[in-house]
Amino acid sequence: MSELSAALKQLLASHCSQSGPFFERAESEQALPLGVGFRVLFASVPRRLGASAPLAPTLLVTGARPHFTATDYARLWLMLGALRGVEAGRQSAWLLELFEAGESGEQVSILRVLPLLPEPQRFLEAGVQACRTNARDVFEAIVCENPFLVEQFPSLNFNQAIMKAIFMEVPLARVEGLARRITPELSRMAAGYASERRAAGRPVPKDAEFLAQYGAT
Amino acid sequence: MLFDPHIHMTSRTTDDYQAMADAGIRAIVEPAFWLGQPRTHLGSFEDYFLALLGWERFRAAQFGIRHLCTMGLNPKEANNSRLADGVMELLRLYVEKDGVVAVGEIGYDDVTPAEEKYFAAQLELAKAHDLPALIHLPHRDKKRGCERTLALVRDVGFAPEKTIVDHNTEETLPLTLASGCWAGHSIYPSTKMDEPRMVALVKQYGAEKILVNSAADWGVSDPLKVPKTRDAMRAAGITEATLEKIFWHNPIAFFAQSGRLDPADLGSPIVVDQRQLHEGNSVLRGQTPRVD
Repeated sequence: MSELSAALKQLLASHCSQSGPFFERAESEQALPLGVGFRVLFASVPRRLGASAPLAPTLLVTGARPHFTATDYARLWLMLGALRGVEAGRQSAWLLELFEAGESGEQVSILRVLPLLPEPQRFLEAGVQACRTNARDVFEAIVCENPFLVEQFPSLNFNQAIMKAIFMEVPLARVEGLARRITPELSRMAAGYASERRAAGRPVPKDAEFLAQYGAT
Repeated sequence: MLFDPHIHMTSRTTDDYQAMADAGIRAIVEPAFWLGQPRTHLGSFEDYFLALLGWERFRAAQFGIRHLCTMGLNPKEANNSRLADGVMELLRLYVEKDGVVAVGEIGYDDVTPAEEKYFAAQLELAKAHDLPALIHLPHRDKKRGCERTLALVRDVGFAPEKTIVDHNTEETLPLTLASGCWAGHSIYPSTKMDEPRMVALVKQYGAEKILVNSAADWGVSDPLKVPKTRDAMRAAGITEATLEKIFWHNPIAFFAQSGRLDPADLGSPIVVDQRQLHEGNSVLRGQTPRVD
């Protein structure tokens, strides 16, 4: 078991009263990450572990964010264990299948912890797919308080995600590290949107103005 | 008589159908679309296509509304390379079905290379099957998206007079009209286009090749936006002849290019018989059937 897996287990054991039976069940199902048993376990975390509130920020897990819940940590732990049982060449496809078959809560957990997975750039497709949704919680899980967006998204997808955030009125202040990725192209897109809104006689979102004018002297 | 040339009825209720019929809507086109989240199996596309051609046409007719549809791989799902090629194969069959009056809705969303590939391929498909195309403009980076859309239509050599470019705004409409394409406008409660702006556009650009739709779907939208926009135009003094052109003759003239729509037939009322069943299923739940 990796250091991260051990830390997660310790964290969950100390916060969740039902963690004993959960880990017991998990150890047997995790050996078969391609089976229905694993999917069932992954889906059932909130009910079986009985925890959906954010856990207090922890120093145990590098890269954790304050909004992570015990459910997110448990699913990260499950994914780390399962990935060890999937051959390297199938791992990105395996994760995408898990993501596509997930209800929105499962998708949120996967997206939040993407940057904590080994070699996270392999899992880009799940992040990009999440940006096509109109379900706000799923979209926010990849765009807000998540370094994966800034670190892994190619510029085309990054720019589209940022424009969609403006469209959905998700504050850009929640995009971690945004300033590193503001380009003239992104400013042009924002300026285009501001112009479209003005032509329609509609208010221009502050974030669009900010991006449009970014870097202008 | 009104025609809504873009509405996703699979997401709407029988109350909507009744209200649309009461407001004078007699014909609709339902473009194939996505379901708000990506499909994960090819079979889901086929069942969706079959539902558009079967149950939805039946439901509409039960309220006196003629239901036509377009078939296509929408841009959001064009990014899924695992499914897109399979959907293209299905489309070769489904575009030949009766009731299909165009290939659509197709176009750009994020403007990715995959979207462009399937957009171009579907224009070729429409050409090969001698059908018009219904193109959706992207909502982000819209003006640039419109320019790229029109450039692609030109590069593929697709006839502009057989093309609807939909979801226009003040900034894209002049580009669309200059290209020779038909221009659709989706009237929405708070995004896209609204009634007063649409009135202003018609006053400025006239009615030639102008279409108005509700694009109502599973999101916040209004299946009565076509009659409401007609009323707003009438109140603003736009002539009855212009209204008839925009809300009836224009969509008919466009979709008749499919060869699958008879303008005379469309103008005659459907005889409603709600005693009818579709595969053993009725739209009624214990009500007295309406029989004309």
